[in-house]
Amino acid sequence: MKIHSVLMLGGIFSLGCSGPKETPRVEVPVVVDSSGLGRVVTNLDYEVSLEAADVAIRDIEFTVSGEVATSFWDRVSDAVVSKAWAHPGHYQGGDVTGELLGAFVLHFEPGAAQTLGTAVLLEGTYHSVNFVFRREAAGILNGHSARLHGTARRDDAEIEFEIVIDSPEDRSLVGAPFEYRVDEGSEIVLGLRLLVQDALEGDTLFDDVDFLVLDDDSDGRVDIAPGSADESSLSAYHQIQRRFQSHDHYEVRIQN
Amino acid sequence: MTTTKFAFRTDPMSSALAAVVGAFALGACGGSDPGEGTVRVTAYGEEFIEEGIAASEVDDGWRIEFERFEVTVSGAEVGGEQLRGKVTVDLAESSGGEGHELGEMEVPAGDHTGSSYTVERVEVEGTATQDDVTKAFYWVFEDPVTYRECETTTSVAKDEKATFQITIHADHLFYDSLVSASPQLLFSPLAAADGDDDGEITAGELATTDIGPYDSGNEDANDLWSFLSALAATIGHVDGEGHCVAKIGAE
Repeated sequence: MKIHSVLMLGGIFSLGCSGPKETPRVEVPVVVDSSGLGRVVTNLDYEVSLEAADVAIRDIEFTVSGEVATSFWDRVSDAVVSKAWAHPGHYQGGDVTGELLGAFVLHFEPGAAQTLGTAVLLEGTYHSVNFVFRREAAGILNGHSARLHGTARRDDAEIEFEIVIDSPEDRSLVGAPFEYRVDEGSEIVLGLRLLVQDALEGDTLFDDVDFLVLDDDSDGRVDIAPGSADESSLSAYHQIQRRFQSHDHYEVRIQN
Repeated sequence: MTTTKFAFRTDPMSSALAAVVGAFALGACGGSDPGEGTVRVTAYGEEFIEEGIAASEVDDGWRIEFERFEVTVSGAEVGGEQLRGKVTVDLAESSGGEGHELGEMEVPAGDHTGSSYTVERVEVEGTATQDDVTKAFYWVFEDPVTYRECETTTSVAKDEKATFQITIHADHLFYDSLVSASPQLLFSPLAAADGDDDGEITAGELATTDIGPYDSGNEDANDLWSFLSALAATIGHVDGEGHCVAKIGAE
């Protein structure tokens, strides 16, 4: 339903009810925040530094829980927006009341700055963010969804790694944390973060990946990609892909 | 700057919205007693459970048959009335397309939405066959799953009988994704989990097998048994394809 339809709905409701008010819309810039890329220690005692990551996504959605608002419109919004249907592939999460549509390649790298655009959010208390992974034909991604570059160290060994990830077509990520009350007049900037370490559970993107085993020719470099004929490498790929596509490793944080 | 366009996601709810709007527009502010009708609650596993899932329906060509598909259902609620007690039915037994009756209850006449029910337990026994290989399975899912806000309207006329059907989709147990809108239906990864190759795929074997390329979404389901258990919490529907909001745990 487009926003003009929502406004029309308000008009319809005004036939039977007194005093419905239109919820204010707030325009908010969205940027890439690379502060989640720090150095982490995995469950196999590797010290891993993720130095850069490029991730192709589209259509960022911002969601509220639906229980915090007080206007009439907000009370009836539960009947209008989507729910967590019990079926794989069906929308889950809160009620979508904000969006930044478009296709993006997020470039995460300490010191880099990237503005994605201006999102439009209805006033409300937000809880999470959704987006869709995609594949980028051009540039560094060259047909893939993501590329991660970094180093892993254990004892005296240091291994440089390059990881390429292909997400399924239209693979949605639902429910990355975004806890903030957005009000009319809020002058904020939202930063979308990739988190090497899940702050809540402590697991890292690279847990269970044994880089030394993967470096079978001992050249100090490991490439992990889909479709590998090597069983260990393919297993590592699946483990990284699984975490990479989980909401545990993303969040939106206020920048100012 | 990227151009922004605002849109709500509404497809499943558009008809519900129309009903809400209609109610307000008509000024539905009370009225006379509408009387009562009867709701017959059934559980149905469709052809997939009663007759099996044909190899042509499974992406890797296994044929799947169920000798037993027992579900224990409680708390079916329609129109504010609840069916008491727990009922266990074997959905693998033929029902002639009608489903198995769980009970009846009197509810106010009218159109009822937001129905709910709980699947307390699922016990599945069957075989899968490909060429000359047959694998047996016997799996029990003990976690209750409550399905609420179900996406259907049960229209009950005064002194008439309506049916509220709990529809169980067995094919979900063989999905390769917890999040895809168009998952593949696979059995080969489950068959490969038969580590001792004795022809029976046990829960223990599945629990020690990584899910590999399966997509677990946000679920912490890294082994096949956890993955299968998560899928088992998605099998409940209503009146065929109607979806519900699912929550693991009884309410």
